[in-house]
Amino acid sequence: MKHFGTLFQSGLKRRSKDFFVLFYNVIFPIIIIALLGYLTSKSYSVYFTSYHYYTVVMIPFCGLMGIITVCYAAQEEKRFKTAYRYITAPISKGELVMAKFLSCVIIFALCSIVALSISKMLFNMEFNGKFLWIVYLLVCESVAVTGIGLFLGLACKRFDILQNFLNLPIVIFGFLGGVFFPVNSYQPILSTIINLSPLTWVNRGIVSCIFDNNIQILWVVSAVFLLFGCIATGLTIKFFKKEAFI
Amino acid sequence: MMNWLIVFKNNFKRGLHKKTAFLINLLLPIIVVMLGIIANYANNSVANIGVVYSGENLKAKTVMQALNDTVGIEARLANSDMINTDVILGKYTAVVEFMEDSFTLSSVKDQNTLLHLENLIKNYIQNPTAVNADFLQEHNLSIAQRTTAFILLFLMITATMTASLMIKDKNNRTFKRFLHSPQNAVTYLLGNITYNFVITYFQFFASVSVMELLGINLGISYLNFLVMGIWIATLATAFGTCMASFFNNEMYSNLLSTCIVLILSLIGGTFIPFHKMPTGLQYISGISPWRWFIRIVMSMEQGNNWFSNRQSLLILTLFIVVFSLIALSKNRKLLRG
Repeated sequence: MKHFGTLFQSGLKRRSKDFFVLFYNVIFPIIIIALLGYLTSKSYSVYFTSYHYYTVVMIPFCGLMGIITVCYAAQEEKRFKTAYRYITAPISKGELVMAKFLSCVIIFALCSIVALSISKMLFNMEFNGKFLWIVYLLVCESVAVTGIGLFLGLACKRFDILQNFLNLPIVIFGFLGGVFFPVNSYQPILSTIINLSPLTWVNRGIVSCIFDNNIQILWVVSAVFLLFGCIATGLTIKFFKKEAFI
Repeated sequence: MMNWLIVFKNNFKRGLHKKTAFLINLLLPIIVVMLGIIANYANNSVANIGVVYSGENLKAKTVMQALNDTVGIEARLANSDMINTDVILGKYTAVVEFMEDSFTLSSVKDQNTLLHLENLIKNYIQNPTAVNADFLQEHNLSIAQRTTAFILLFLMITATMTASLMIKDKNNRTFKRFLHSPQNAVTYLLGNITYNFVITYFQFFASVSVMELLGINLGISYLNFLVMGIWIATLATAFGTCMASFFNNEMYSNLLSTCIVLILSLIGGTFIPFHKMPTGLQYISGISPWRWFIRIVMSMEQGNNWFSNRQSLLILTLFIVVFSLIALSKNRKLLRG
């Protein structure tokens, strides 16, 4: 446990000082919300503005983009050339993975919550008393994002191949989930493709919770995120070898 | 004399070393093209109106039938528990909820559209004969414009990934060794740029050829598309090389390029057409290459060729020159130490 504490603290410090993590999860979503909101402002009503729409869809999307950052954070020992120290140190695999997992979850969840709070203030977004539910979903999303990111970065041997292509499927998921403009189709094939995107369900969960007082979808999506995050972390601990850092 | 060719060939060997990644990279654009086509179908111009009523509401049924008879409108029964969700997420343009003697309209559309829609429904309650409903028609990007914008967006991201070989060279000290050899920045850069251009153009060629093979008519000739590909690939390569020249970390380069590309494509009109943008942003969109590509595609859709719109072509060429000069100056500085 002593090692875990030290590693966790070090991970937390490193992540909280990483300009890219803060930029990509706090500043970038706000810039994009403001930009897209302004772009489509003519087409929306005064009660539910374009800024409100993009606040709902953009923050979970940027949260999902965190997978890329986690992937690289997982292998930072390789980058800092400290791999051999970790191999020889008496630290268990569980401690190493859990320290990375918890530090990433905390920072990513905090970034999403800060972005959501800033958007709430800047764009006068009304959450109808459901703000904490949305925060809960974003925390669950951070768990899944970190779990999957660590699995790809630490346990997946073909990561080198995957790392370059990660932002493309995420942008595709975002597009299908209506992140750039509302997407919908009644054609069975298109509708199935749209429903394959996790962001379709995340957005549906958030909107139905805030505006239709229906938390059922949000509950299911959060539970699936938690489950995915836990399974991916368990698999990472099982398959991770310290040699992956080299 | 041909030292850049050594850099070019070496990059090919490095790429082929990871065959799966190399192949995925080459064939991914085909998925993107399909996505662009899906986007056009998913963002179609038909307005979906949801209808909610309880029991045997004849008035509601009559209005629903009249709405279905109206050109550009499709009416469907909506889920009364999810009205706001369906309206906000674009499943329905609006939802009409019929009560005994009245109706309510739920939508997030602008006041003008709502007023027209309300009047249309009032009119159909009085007289259920289909009338013109042009106000609901959304004039979005054509399939050729959307596909071009999507390919450019995708290729600018992948070109940065391809250019990340330069970052690897910096980190593996290969670049330093190059520094000690009797070469200059131009040779190194030329080899990398040529490699990146060949890969990027092949990606473009593969995606356009698949559309041609599938018989998808975009209203632009195959030849015009191939010529346009030269500018798209050159711009993507110049941008990718420029981004790779600035960073020593692949993640930073990839993430920042995705961020810049997304913002430029948004203000350039990839998702929201130029004419729908607020006036202020219409001026700013000039700094985005997407705006000029879409403008040339519009011109080609009217039967012109790639070289007809000289002003846009010149601006695009200027973008390429600026990105290339930035990359060259950055690498020269590095080579000087």
